[in-house]
This record gives sequence, structure tokens and C-alpha cells, in this order.
Amino acid sequence: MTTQSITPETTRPAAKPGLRLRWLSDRLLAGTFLAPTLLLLLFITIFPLIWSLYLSFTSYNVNSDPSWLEAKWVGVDNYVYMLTTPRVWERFIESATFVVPTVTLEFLLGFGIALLFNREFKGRGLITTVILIPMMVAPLVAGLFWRFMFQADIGIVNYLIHDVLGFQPVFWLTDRTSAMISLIIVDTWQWTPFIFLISLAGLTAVPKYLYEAADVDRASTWFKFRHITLPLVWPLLLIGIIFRLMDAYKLFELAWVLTSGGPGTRVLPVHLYKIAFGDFATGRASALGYIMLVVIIALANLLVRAINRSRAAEV
Amino acid sequence: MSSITLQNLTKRFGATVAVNDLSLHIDDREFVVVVGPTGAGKTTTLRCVAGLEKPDDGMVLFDGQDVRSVSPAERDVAFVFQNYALYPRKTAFENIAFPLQARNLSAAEIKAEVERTARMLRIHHLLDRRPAQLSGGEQQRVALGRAMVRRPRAFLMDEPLTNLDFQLRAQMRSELKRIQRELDNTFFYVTNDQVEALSMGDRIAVLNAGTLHQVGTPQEIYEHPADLFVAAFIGSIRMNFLRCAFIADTGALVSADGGWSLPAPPRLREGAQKSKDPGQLILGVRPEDVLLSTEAGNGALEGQVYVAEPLGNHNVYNVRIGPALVRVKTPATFMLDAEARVSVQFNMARAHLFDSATEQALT
Ligand SMILES: Nc1ncnc2c1ncn2[C@@H]1O[C@H](COP(=O)(O)OP(=O)(O)OP(=O)(O)O)[C@@H](O)[C@H]1O
Ligand SMILES: [Mg+2]
Repeated sequence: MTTQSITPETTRPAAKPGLRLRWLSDRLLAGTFLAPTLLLLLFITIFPLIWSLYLSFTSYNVNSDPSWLEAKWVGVDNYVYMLTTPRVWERFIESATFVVPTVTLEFLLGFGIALLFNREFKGRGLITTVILIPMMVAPLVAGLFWRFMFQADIGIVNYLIHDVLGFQPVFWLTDRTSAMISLIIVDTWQWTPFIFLISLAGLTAVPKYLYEAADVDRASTWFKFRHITLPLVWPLLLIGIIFRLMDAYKLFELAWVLTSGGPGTRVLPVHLYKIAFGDFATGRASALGYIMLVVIIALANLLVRAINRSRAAEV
Repeated sequence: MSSITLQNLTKRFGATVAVNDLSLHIDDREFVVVVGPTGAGKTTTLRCVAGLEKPDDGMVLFDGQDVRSVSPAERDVAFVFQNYALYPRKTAFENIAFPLQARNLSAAEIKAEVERTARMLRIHHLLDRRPAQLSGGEQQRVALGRAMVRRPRAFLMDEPLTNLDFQLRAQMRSELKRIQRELDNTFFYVTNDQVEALSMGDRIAVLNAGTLHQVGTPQEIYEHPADLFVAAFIGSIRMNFLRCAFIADTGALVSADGGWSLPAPPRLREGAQKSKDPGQLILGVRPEDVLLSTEAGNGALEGQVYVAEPLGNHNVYNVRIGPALVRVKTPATFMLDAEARVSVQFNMARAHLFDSATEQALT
């Protein structure tokens, strides 16, 4: 009886081993394929990271020190210097004055436009594509033509303000406050589409029947927005905000192209650049870089936690 | 609390006609069940009533008023969605409370109402769970709760009991019926389960492929199906259909293959004469109107048991009569072996006759 229950498969001869090499396990094979990438990554990312971490504890100056071997170990001196210099705090504040309004503005505009677009209308696809164009322009290029438009005497912006509307011309890029405003305008112009895109994706993913149920339940538009739209789109929006925060925080090209880091727009990355390649204080610059890194990691961490919290609410 | 009238309602989706020229009146405080197979257009009909779908033709009236330009919210109906449509980020409590919150009731009032409703539906122990943490049947009852907590003009329910197990469904059937009497409101109820329709509806409307086949009380529908579709769809064991011809000279019904001949009682005779083609008729006999016996009887047909299905409280036999198979329902105590020879008698007083060309009932 039991002998008959043997399935035919087991009595068939085992499949031919083919080209399989015994010593080549799946893990080894995977490792072999990954190795070149890992090595490259190690060389261009991990190594500089560790290297600059080391340099941040030295008084190394890439211009005057003949070799990094002679760099003097100074312990945490660079960090202490950076954290106690009022100028650095001013830079942090200047960065914050840029990042907070910019990301807020991008969020409000992007989400707002997405809300308007969250319905069927003629030409929706085309207009959506047009709205996305600024995002596709290289930041450097965007900075260059905005610089032209912001020119105090020949720029089109002042032409509109002064010649057409009859107001006083604005010194867009040279005045402290208006330089920062210019920076905010250009970055908002370029990256609002990003938030718009993410919001639109989130809004489209909200099932239509939830709104139908809410309609039948006699909920007001605001109630539907507050209780259906927002909770469902919020996690995705937070991801968009993290992206924008990190990106705005490390903004360099735009500030450099628009004002060359002039008054009012000397945000942290510009400051870092000037320490590193103006003063050639490599050690100090590395220390500032690490301080910036810690700040952004802490910030991102907070937001990621917020996302996880709203994700947990889903279960 | 209002009456609902559908007038020549038509709804198309591209080439599909989901609802085809449907007219139906539901009285104030009436419980009307629309029953039909999947894809019949039941959901589409309800959605038109709720204002979630715009009819292509015809109109919906509430208390005789055309509601074409009235928004879903202003129509003030409660809707139990077939897919529940629960708010995913909200607990069961918040889901049920949603219509009340949207109306700005006080927190204490809301709590009392929600808890009363939840107890009625036996989900009060689940109130702090989110939909993803509930089983299908529990979600369905939360969806019911969200509707029941309101005092709307009418309740629209789209298959609200399909996901419950047999026992709970039977309980909820009578519970819903009781609730309807208690709330004293109009219920427009949709299901694909003919048992639900027969047991709950004041009246039943049978829908298939967007077309209304018959409207009537459960008894009317069961006893006098208007056509072949209704006859086949209503009844827990499908009605037997036998092709036959009416011979006017002898007043007999003769099977299409000539295997049997039965005298037609006056009712069937009159019916047969209404047909344009009395040579092409279909005799309909419900399984419980077929009598089996092991002894040869007067005027009985000869048959042989093909398949026996003991179902606990009754048995179903498939009996071969010539080339035809006939389903027979017998008491559980009536035991036969497969292959057993039996004599078969139709209760002709309760038999139906259909025209095979028009598929309409003749009796
Ligand atoms: N939004 C839509 N777009 C296209 N076709 C649709 C749409 N909604 C329904 N239909 C079609 O209309 C017909 C009726 O659909 P409906 O949902 O009303 O059926 P139903 O009777 O509720 O079926 P079920 O019992 O399966 O829920 C079906 O053929 C369906 O494919
Ligand atoms: Mg349906």
C-alpha cells in the first residue's frame, strides 16, 4: 500500500546539473554582481565622507598646507569655533529665512493648485504638463534667466513694475531684503510643480466612493476636506515636504547665480563654499558641513517619524 | 419618510445599458426589495436614486417632486454601499458618528446615538477599531450603522447582508425588518438573494439586464411569476421547465419528445389557448409540486432516480423522465436509492405554462 503512494516525480532521474558550479552559491553570485557598484560607492561617497570627518578635526588648509599629512590634529576646536561664532548663527538664521517661507509657499501653492486640478476638465493633461516645465529646467539655467529678468535697469520685472504699473523700481538682487525675496520667488517658481505633482498623485489615489459616501452623509466641502482628503494625502505630502526641506536647505546654485552669495542671500551652503574655497579653511569647512548634516538628519528624522505615525494610524 | 418614484429611468455606460426604461413606485414607509442576478443594474438604480449617478433618461421623484437638480446631500437619503465605503482612517465609532458630526450634534448626543445603533447591530465591542481591523461582515455592519444612525427620508441599501454568515444573515434579516417597522421609514433594498427578497420585502421588483421583469408581493412573485426569468430566479430550488405542446382536441399537454401526455386542467387549458403557438409551450413545475412514489399510480409518469441529494431537512432528487431531468423536493424521511424506479406526479393545479417564444407566463 505505502509503496504505491510514491509519486512519479521522485522516481524520475534528477534534473541535470547543467552549467551550475558547486562553489558558486547564490550569495556569492549576488556579491560578485554588487561588488563593482559597492566599490565605486565606497570610493566616491563613503571615503570622502570619512575623510572629511577626519579633516574636520584638523587645522588642514588645502591652500597653504603642502600635504594633509602635516595637518595638525586640533580635536573639537573647529566645531567649537563654528558653534560659537555669531556669524555662523546668522547664516543658520538666513538659511531658515529662506527655507521656511519657500517650502511653506511651495506647499500651499502646489497643494492648492493640485486641489483645483483634482477634477475633470478640458485640457487638464496639457496644462499639467505646462505647469511641470519649471521643474525640468536646470537650476543654473533658471537662475541665469531670472537674473536677467530681475536686472534693476533692463530687466522685464522692473519694466512691468515701473514702466507699465508706474511703481518705484525694485533693486531685486542687490538690496538685502529683496534679494532674499528674489531667491524665494525663483525657488518657489521652480519647485512648486514638484509639490503639485506629489499632491495630485495623492489626491487621485483617494477613492471616489469616499466622497460619495460623505456627500450622502451630508458633509460640507470643508468637512470632506478635513476628514477625508487631508488624512489620506497627508503622508505623501509629508514626503514631498521632506524632499523640499532637504533640497532647499542645501540650495547653492541659485543663490550663487542670482547674487553670488551677496548680502541677504548668504545661506549656509554659500557660506560653507566661501570658507572652503575662499579662505581655504578646509578643516573648519568640514566641521560646518558636519554640523549641517546633523541638523538636517535630525529634522528629517522628526518628519519621518510624523509619517510613520500617520502610517500607523492606517492599520 | 417619503415615497420614491422611478419614471422610465434609463442609464447607459457606453454601449452597456445598465438600467433600461425602469418604472417603479415605492410608497412612503414601504419596504421594497429589488432582486436580480449580478450585473442586473441594481447598484446603478440605487445610485440614480441617491443622486450619485445622472440618469440618461427618465427621472426620479421624491414625494412626487422631480429631484433632478437636487444634490445627493439635499436628497437626504441614507445609503449603504455595496463596497461599504468606510472612511479608512476613522474608527468604527467615528465612521458611524460621521453623519452626525457633519450635522454638528453635541458630543454626548452623538455618543448615545452611535452606541445605541452599534448595540442594535452587535458591533458595540468593535467601536474603537479601524475598518482594516474588522472582518468583512463587521465592516458591513459598520456601514449599516452609519446609515441607521440617521433619520433620513429613505434608506437605500445595496446588498447589506451579503458578507455575513448564514446564521447572522438570517438574524439580521429579521432585525432589519424590525428596525424598518420601528423607524417607520421607506426602505429601498437591493439584493441578489431571492430568500432575502421573499422574507423581507413588502413588495419585490425582479430586475435582470437592466429590465424590470415583475413587481409584486412576495406571494405574487412566487405563485405567479410573470415570465420564465422570474420563475427560474425566484425559489431556492429552480423550477422545472418541460417543453410541451397543447393538443386542443384532447385537451392534453404532450411532451416535446412525445414521452408523456397529461390532461390539462381548465386553468392551463385557458392559458395554452392564449398562446400564438400552442405547439411550443413550456410547462413549469416547482420541485415541491412534484410527487414521487414507489408505487405505480394512476396517471403517473415513469421515472428513474438519477442523483439524490439529502439536504438535512429535505431531500432533492433529480429524476429522469425520458430525456428530461426533473428536480423533486421531498421530505427528509422519503429515502430512495439512486437508479430506483419511481412514479412521478405533477401537481397540475400549481403548474405554470409559458410561451416559449415570448417567455411570458400564460397562466
Ligand atoms: N461606472 C460604470 N462604467 C461602466 N459600466 C458600468 C459602470 N457601472 C456599472 N456598469 C455596468 O452596468 C451594469 C450594471 O451594473 P450594476 O453595478 O448596477 O449591477 P448590479 O446589479 O449592482 O450587480 P451586482 O449584484 O454584481 O452588484 C453592468 O453590466 C456593469 O458592468
Ligand atoms: Mg451592485
